[in-house]
Amino acid sequence: MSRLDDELRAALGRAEPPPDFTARVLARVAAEQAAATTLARPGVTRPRWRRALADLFRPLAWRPALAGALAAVIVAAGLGAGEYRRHRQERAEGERAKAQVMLALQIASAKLNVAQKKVQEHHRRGPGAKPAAHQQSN
Amino acid sequence: MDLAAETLARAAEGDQGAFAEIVRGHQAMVYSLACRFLRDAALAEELAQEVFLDLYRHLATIESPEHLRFWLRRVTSHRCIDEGRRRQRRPELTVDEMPELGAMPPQRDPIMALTLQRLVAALPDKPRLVVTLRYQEDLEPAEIARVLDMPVNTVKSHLRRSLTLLREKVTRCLGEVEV
Repeated sequence: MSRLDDELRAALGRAEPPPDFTARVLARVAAEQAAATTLARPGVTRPRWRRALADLFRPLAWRPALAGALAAVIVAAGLGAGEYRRHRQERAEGERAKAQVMLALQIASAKLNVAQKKVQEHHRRGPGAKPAAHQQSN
Repeated sequence: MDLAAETLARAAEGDQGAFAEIVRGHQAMVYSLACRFLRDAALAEELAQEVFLDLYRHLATIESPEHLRFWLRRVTSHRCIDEGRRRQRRPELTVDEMPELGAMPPQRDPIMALTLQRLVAALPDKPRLVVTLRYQEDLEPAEIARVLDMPVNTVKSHLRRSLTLLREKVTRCLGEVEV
């Protein structure tokens, strides 16, 4: 087993998804179940739904008010989807920034440890001693 | 019946709490695999959700906790490969453009860890997936071969070539470090 194997194992650890991940999976499961239940209810079958839609778009049944309402729903759905996408993107950027701060802190801490070790070593050897040769730390 | 098998059985009978437990227990594995392959946290989260939704639909076919882990790794890997194919026309990211994975546990050597993460992220799709399954999931080449439907020798050859490349690059990036 080489050192690279160990370093890869340490570097490629698992990362947790955002905290609300499980809740959102369960919400999607519930939404899917609700849709399935609605379709399974007597009287709420796909052919009747299709017939109603066909009636709505038949020229004689066409009403401007219905058309307006339909357009409003479509526009609202589009705006909602855009807002949701923007929210997701902002959250992902926030997570990324947080991870970068954590990494910077880890790197700073690692470097401080190295510096502290060198200072301690210098004190141990006495004030007149030459500094030790540079060693590559892990 | 152990606890994991019992949870699986309850989830298969429609117990939402048991299913939530399964999701919580495996979400880091699925999300990390997707994130390392797709190199996009939001897309990885979306794919991971799809995988668990798919699991919910197939709970009745899952025979044991081991089968569950195998199923999740296999479905995640294949969905990642499909997504990778869909995005093939997009330009490849350079090493410096690779996104961070999100909250990771503290590393022994953060500089080495970051360098390796970026170098692994720059590997081509299949070798990257093989290396991730080997070192993130600690799978043997034969297990990786089963997950990816790939001959064992191909897995071994991907691993050998990737490790040689990573060793060279990490030495070049970090100086004369013995790896």
